[in-house]
Amino acid sequence: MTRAERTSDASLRLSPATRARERLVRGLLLFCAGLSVLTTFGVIAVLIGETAAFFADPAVTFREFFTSKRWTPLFADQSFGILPLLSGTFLVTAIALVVGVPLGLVSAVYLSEFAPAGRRRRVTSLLELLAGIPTVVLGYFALLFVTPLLQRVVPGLNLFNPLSAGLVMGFMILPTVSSISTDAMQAVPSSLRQAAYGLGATKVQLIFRVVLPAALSGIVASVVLAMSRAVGETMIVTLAAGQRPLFTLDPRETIATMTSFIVQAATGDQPAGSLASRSLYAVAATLFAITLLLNLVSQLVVRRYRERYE
Amino acid sequence: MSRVLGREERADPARADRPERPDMLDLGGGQARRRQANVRAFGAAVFVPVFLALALLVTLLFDVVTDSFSWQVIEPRNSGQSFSFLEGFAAFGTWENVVRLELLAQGRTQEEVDALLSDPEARRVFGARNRVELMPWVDGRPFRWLVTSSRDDHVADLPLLEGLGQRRELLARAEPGQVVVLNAWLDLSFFAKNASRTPTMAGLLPALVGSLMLVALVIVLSVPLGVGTAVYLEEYAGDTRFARLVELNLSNLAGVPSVVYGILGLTVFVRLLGLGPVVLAGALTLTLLVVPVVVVAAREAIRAVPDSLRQAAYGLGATRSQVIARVVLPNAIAGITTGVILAVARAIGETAPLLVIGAAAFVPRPPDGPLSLFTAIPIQVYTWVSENDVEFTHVASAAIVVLLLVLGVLYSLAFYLRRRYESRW
Amino acid sequence: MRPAHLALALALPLLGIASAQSIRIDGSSTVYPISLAMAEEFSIENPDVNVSVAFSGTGGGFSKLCAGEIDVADASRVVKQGELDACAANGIELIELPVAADALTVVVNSGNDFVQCVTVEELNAIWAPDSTVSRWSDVRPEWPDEEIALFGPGTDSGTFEYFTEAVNGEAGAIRTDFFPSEDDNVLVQGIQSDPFAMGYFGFAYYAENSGRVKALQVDSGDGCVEPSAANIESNTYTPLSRPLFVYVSAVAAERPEVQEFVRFYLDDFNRELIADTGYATYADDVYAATLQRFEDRVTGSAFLDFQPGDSVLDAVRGD
Repeated sequence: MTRAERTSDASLRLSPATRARERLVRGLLLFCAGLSVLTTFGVIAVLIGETAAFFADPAVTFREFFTSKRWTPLFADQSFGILPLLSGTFLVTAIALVVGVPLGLVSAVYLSEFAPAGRRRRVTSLLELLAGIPTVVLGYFALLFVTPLLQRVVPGLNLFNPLSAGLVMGFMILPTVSSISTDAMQAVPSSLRQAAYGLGATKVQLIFRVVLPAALSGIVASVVLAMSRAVGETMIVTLAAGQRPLFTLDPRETIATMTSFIVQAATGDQPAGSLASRSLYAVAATLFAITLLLNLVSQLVVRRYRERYE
Repeated sequence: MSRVLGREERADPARADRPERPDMLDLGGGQARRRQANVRAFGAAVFVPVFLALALLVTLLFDVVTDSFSWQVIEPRNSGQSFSFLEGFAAFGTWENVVRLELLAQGRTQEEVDALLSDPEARRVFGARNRVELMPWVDGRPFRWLVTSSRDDHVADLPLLEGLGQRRELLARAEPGQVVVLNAWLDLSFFAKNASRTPTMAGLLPALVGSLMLVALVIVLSVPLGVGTAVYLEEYAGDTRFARLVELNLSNLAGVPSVVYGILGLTVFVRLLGLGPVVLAGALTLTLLVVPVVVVAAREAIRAVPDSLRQAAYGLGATRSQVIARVVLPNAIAGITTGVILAVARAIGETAPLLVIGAAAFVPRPPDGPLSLFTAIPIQVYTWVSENDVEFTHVASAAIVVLLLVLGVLYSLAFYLRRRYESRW
Repeated sequence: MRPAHLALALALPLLGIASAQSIRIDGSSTVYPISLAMAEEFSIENPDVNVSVAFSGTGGGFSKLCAGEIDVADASRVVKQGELDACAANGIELIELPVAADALTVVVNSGNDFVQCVTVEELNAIWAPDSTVSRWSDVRPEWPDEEIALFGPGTDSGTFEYFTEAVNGEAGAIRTDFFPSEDDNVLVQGIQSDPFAMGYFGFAYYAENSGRVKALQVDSGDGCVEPSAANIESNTYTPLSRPLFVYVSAVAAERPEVQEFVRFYLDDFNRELIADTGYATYADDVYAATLQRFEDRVTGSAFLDFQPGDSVLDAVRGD
């Protein structure tokens, strides 16, 4: 029992009405809390149910789903290989990570080691604003500003391409990497820092040899979390990366990601219950599984490796 | 302590050659100065990403604002005459005044014009097919009223900066009957117009009302649920398995892509419950998305309330629910409000879940109630950008400016509340 | 009626929420611009009727119409017998109204001077799902030995469905290595950039951009016919021209606001709204006959056996 519980119920004599009311309140609050469990259950049930129906159809096999490089649920000759969607997602995510992780890490170093308190607050607010920009606006920016700019520099860049989307997405995940890494770096005990200074370390040496290694678990967790956000991001890719499933690693080609296909299928014309519309759920289930895995890994990394430096 | 040392050092001129920051040992002038220079250079380099992030924000804002203007060459259906600001402006009834001027310019008689303007039906129809706009620049003259029509022929459209340099050329090359204007797509009439197939008449009203309705419903639904869950986790549940399950669920739900919430909403609210793609279904879906945000903020706020307050209340004989309702929550209200504001800001900007539910249809007018078809500001932005029409891009930019302004206000409010009530205890 | 709907319908008066009259339209994205224009202008003149238009696709439109979820379905093709039966099973009869004519234009780069006319068989050879054609010379030896760059609409559009059905015999059957885009402008840009490119899209868009690409004449066995408004209207530009339809459920047709809307749609005065969207319109007597068909509540489809070259007017009249 919590301290609150012990204090409240133990010695007071409550009238039956009051006790009933207390129970009611507790029940209501329990229900609220339980709703989150219900939501997760709902998500899993819906995804599993429709995905099972999808794979139950004779036109679909597990082997084809995971190994075929053709995703053509909307053509007459239907083919359900998810690899093109995975490669598209991977391409955009990789570019986003290449942009966002270094920038985010360096921002975190700045915030935790260099910035005076007032500036730190202002910069943190700035990054929070960056994180708060609606992704549809970022998609607009990628398509209408970044792409034309890049087309002058990169030969053969298509109008819809994963490069612009990935670049902009990198800035979208920058705040995630930065804020979690900053927390991790600031959690490094000052005793370690003072010890380093005592041994004659410069600030730069301190950062690279003491702080970063000590905060590594938090940094890795932030990167994994940022990756999860990039994988699940929808509007930037739908507007700027394209809706053409293609198995390629060329960032200038128009591609489709899992999320852009989901939007295409949901706003498109397949009647509910058809195989083509069920493919939407199969893709969503794959997406959910991947992001869930990444989130769990990130939590695991933090829990497992944080204790070492306490 | 180092700060104190620093001040002492600076005060003493004899110590001027010592490094400012005592976190470096004085190993002899040259080496220390080089190290100091290195650290400063590193410090500057480390600021680069922050600078880039700022540059992105500034570029985005600049791009969006400039794109909400465009230079146009129009062949008007109406008279094509523009009226000076003073001519058209009237303290009450500017619209009527300008319309009157326009109709007279079209050659109608005073009686006809009076008849038309006194008939509410005729006024409404005229207003639905025409737009009274204050253009910053018309045919070389600044700030003039122009009545544009949905049937106008748009000959050319140039971006703000490009057209700025070419405006004299445009004027010179304009054929008789054509009007060259600088069109400010974001103006007051933008907020009053409904969606339309033509960019000229396209407005944000249905989307504004839709977003407002969604936000209202989301607040009504998510605050009790979120605060209730937070109260349960902080005040009632111990370290039970159920509490840990709830916490695990919340942290996982926070990481689920928003589009998956859309699929849940589509399957359960739209299809299973049979609501259809209406406001209520959208609000329910967004609530699920936003509750984890409220829970996190509420939990922090509740945790920040000192236990001494609670104990005092218990000591006075209050029951648990009374303590929560009369002591804990009132003192956590600032933190909870901040969390709700951030949740609302998130909900306003979400597009993917609403798209998947089916909010993308053409909705001619604002929703009447929670069971109407609807659209929301980010959905309109998506639809207008997807039109692949350069004029609709300007309309989309205008909508984005509105959206960013709203979000800016919300975030400022949240930041202010957070700073104001940060360390009350 | 779903239980949730029933409960809400009963609760609505209690909640005091006025349910305005509404007309729900959904279906083909090709017909969408026409219905959109009609809906908007109609709403202006009838402010108490809420007309909403979506574009889930022709198939989606029919299934919603048959489920009673919408009142009017836009269709870029004739209804199928199976769809009629499904509707009938739900007690819903359909009134078929042709409203405009559309065509697909096959285009090449404007610098292309070696091809003026192409036969349907050649189109099929190029675009078939298992096509082995990769160069122009594979089709006709006198054509250049250069690779054909193919551009076309994506799978979501009625144009795609129509082209594949007309040229390859089955909707959705097509080779998969063409460059798809829902945005006609992207297709035009692509074709402009490659002298040996070929693509297709709606005639409406070609008409607006005829300076940027070159349209080919199509020979379906009776000689080369060029895509023009006149040829489309007379149904001689085949197989790539087709009537566009609007299907009204007989149940909805009993409502006065729906009747007003259909009359508005077919009114001669509003014909220019259709022309504004770029589609071809039929002669006035076709629309008069169509309106008569609606007023008489003639259900079922007269176009099930419609062949290229048949008269639209005769079909509507039921001759």
